[in-house]
Amino acid sequence: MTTGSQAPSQLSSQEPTQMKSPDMLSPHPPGQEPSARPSANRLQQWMQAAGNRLEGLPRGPRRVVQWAILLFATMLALLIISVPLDFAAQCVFAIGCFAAAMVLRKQSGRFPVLVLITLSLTVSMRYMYWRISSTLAFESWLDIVFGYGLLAAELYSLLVLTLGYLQTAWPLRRKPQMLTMPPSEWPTVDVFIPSYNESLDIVSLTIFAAQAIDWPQDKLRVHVLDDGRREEFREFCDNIGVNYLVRSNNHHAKAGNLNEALKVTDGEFVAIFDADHVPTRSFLQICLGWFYKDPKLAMLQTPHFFFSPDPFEKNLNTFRSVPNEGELFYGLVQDGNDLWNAAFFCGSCAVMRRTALMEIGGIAVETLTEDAHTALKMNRAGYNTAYLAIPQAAGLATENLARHIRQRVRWARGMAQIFRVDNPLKGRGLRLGQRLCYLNAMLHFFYGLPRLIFLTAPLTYLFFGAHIFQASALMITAYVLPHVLHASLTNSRIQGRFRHSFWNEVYETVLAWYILGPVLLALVNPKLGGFNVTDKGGIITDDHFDWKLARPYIVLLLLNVAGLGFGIWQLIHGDPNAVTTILINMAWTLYNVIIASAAMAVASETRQVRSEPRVAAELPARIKLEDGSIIEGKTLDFSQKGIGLRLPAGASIARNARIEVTLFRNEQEKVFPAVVVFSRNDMVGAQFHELTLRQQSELVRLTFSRADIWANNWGKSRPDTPLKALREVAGIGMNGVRQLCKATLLQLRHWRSARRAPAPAAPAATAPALDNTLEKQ
Amino acid sequence: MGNDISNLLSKFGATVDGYLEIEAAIDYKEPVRKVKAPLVVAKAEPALTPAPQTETAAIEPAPVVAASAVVPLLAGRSLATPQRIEPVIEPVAEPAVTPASVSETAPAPAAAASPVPAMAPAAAPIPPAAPVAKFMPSPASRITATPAQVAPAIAAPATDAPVPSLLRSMLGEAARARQAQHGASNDGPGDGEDMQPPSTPAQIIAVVSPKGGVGKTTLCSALACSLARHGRVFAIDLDAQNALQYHLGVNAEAAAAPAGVASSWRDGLAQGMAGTQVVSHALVADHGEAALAQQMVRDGQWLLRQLQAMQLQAGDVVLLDLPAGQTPYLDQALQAADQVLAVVTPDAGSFLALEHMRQILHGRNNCRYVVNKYDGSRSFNQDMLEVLKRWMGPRLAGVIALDHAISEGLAYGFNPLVKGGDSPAYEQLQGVAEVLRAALAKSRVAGGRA
Repeated sequence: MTTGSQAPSQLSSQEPTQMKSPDMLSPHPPGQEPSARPSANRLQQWMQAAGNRLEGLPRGPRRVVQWAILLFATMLALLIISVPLDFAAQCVFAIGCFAAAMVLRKQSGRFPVLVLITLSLTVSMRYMYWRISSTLAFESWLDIVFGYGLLAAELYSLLVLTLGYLQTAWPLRRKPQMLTMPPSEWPTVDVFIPSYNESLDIVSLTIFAAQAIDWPQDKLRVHVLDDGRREEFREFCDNIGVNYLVRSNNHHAKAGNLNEALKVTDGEFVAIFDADHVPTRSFLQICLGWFYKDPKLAMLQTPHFFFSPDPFEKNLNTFRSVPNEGELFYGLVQDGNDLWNAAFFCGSCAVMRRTALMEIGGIAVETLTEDAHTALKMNRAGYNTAYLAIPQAAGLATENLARHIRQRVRWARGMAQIFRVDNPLKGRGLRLGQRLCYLNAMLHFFYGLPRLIFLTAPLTYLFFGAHIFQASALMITAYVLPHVLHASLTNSRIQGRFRHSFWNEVYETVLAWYILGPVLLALVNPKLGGFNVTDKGGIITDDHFDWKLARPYIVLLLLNVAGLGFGIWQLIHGDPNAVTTILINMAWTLYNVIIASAAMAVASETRQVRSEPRVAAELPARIKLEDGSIIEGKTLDFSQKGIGLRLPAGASIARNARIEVTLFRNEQEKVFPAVVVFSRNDMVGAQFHELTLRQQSELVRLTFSRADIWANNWGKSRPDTPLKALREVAGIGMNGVRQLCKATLLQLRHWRSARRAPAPAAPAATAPALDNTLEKQ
Repeated sequence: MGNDISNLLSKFGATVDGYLEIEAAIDYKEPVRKVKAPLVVAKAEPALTPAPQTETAAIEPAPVVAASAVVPLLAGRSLATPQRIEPVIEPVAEPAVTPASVSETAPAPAAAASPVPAMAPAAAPIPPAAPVAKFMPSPASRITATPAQVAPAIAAPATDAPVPSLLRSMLGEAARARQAQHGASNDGPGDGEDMQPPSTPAQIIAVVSPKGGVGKTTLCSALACSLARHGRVFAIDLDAQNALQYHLGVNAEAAAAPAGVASSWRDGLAQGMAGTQVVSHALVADHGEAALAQQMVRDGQWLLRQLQAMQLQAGDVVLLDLPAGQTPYLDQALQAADQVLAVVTPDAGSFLALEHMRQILHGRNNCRYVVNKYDGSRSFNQDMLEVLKRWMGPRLAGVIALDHAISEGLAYGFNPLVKGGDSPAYEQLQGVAEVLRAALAKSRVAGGRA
């Protein structure tokens, strides 16, 4: 089963009718998983042999055996979960499970993951059973309020954990299918690039790249949908030969824009790219094969890859070392959703079948996350959706924390709206697996309140002495610790490549305060809308601390630090019997301090060096100097406007020299004139000099359009080790505290000098908005 | 196939088969200053360029569809070639200038007289493994449905100025002749004679060029030096210019020694650089050019006979440096050769001459091309290269950059193509040499000549 290719590869042949949502956890998980270690060890061999034996049975007896195993497992689980054990027995049980988990987490393959999940769920269910049955004997109203609040948060957390395991235990890992018919039979494709207020610099890149897609030219129609109705866009589109569509209004923003465009076009397939998502040339040929393999496929989504750092990576300096926030979703969650036929549309970098799209009435306009809602409607209508985990388009991440928060808040509101308006648990057309996956996608965004509860729960004891957990400290340790550790270990094993441990808490903490309100509002009344976190936007021209945004984190941090103080006081002066309880609560508070300070570190915005982010890539390049001599070098990075080069040792080029850079792709080579603006030893930075449209197009073809340009950087982060991750987050937290102190001192000094001489200008915390900004929808 | 594609697909466990690289040529209207000329060689025919093509735009999608339908279910790679030959199709809404080939072929739909041969160019660059004749019947049967539309679209950029329809009929005859020739050649050489035709176990590469001055002898000498690293190489100069010996640095005395006595090639071998052995033209035409020409007329196997007399071994490689254009040497060399390498430069003269020799060269499935003296900084060179690429399809073995040091080197007895490090052309030439070696290895395994 781990290395086995003997399992009937139902999914690898992708029959759409069967096995798209296995509704029982079969001991024979379909599909193949090449083992990471070439030689299977004894354990795996034994498991494989057992699997083989079972496979050998004919269908009838096999089903019987499977059902029997399931029944037995369920009875065993119920027994294990509910049997009351005293402290010693519970400890033995916990240690046993933990030991098994430590052994299993090193085993490669899919089956150990399933066992780990089982162990984790067993331990967690056991904890929850004990919690509900033995720890809720509250006395005072304070205890009741806080106690049930914490319980609710824990139940939420457990539900999301379980659904998360379901979603991600078995990523489908779909392989690309190539088209088998000759190009004359390839379908017509409309590529939509909706735009509202992005600058032409950014959108022109996407348009050039869309034109450069490897597809018969008469069957590839590129359309720019300009809701800003800008003349320069129209002229640009006219010059380079793409269609330019406008409409007279801006109803329903992007969804309305796309729907209007659907009315005036007729391609068999529709590919959608956000204005800043640049596709590679292989996008269509890689994505469309599946539509012919599966006639009921309505939508295929590919990852959103970001070639610029998001605010977390930028401000915490973790670009390409710690996985990006989106990597968990695009690397794992959507892949897991794909198994259950619940992969959903993410607004960009996807292809849809027009007939299916029109059947559901076009892109959904009822909610703010029109993309997920569209996919939900497609699933309800009986169509399949798919996900291909191959990055074929990349874009810019949100530039600053404020924008980032606003974007996530919008997503959260939209998901809450869908939860109310088109609940996946209700209504027809969805299978159980799909319902649960969509449910989890929505539930995920309700973490605001639970996260805040977790961040303040121990303070109820340290400040108010409330006993919200009616159990002895030792028992708490014996039950809670396995629950937490197993969840952490299992998640690290499942997600380690895509999300490091403890970063989940950081991301949630950063957003918790801001999404709480909007989500509650949307849940209560989905029709209400229009609240947006105000942000100033613009290029960040200097290092500064975003006070306004960081207020919640500072408050949380101070509260927890105060809690620590209270705890120490109580240790010294308080009841000696309560020492263990105090220590446990202080440990929890310390953990909260780490997380809150790390969240605060994100608010310390670092200066953006360049207005246009560069893509790091190593491609061969040839440089010709004015005197005709030639230097063979490599690129360090490139963008539409400039290029960074590394010369061979010893070579150097003076600043302001005019050079010609030749770039290659396979046998093609094209020459681009440039001017050197930066030169140090063997590193040279050059700006392209007055490129014609054709040259700009060629530049894009040789750089951004390369099929492997994003795949090379995909999944390149360090694998996760929980302890190291904790240390890293703690380090970031300390750095955050340092930044806070520095910023505080700076602010005090400004106030003092402002008080002395009323200076007109306050230090500009945010820079004025410039042209080259991007409003991420 | 692009290595970025194979890089991507191998990372994600898919094969490269079935992926087609499609290079669309689009006209851009530059906002300021210079207007970009259309991509095809319309520069030779200014009068034909600007015709607005809105009325023909409607026809264009159909021919493209029909054309590619002709090459039905080949392996993925070969499908790329018909795509490359087809002309640019503008999106219907655009009034931009269309390439000249479409504009000038549109007014002559009457040339539908030869739909089948017009398909031939598209069918021709099918992977060399398959004999060309096999594909002829299916295109014919498919095309009869849309004869008039196919013909204008498929003709390779027709730049023979005078009469496009005349060219098409010439192409038709050429294709028919090639069919006949292929049928004839399938029977094997020497079917009218009783005795065993001459043969030699060595492998023969003929370096030809349709037009002179393209650097054929220079490349031939460089290839000889490169291939000499892997075995014995014999370079034979069939060009009356007798320049090969100088390129290969043959000792002055050996070069000057008159071969008055009719010595055999084997005895008259001179030592060239990098271990090559050279038969100079003086030795080849030891009785004078006229006598040699008569002998070649009398004996259609003369070259093969000479090669047999050299008593070469398997694993030896013979490079024939031929004079430019169509000469009697060319016919015999093509008959003898395992591989043919045609050298051109990216200019109109080369292209026209190439067109002229199409049936001799392109019809063979062992003929490859090298574009020499390519200057990437000139946009005309870039455009010309694109045209040539489309014409040649996968037969293009390499592109060699213009480097003045190469021709200058001859004066100083130094060939930058032979020694690496200074000239980018060196790497490119090694690439071509590798292609040839691979082709030789394949034909050695396959056995026999094309």
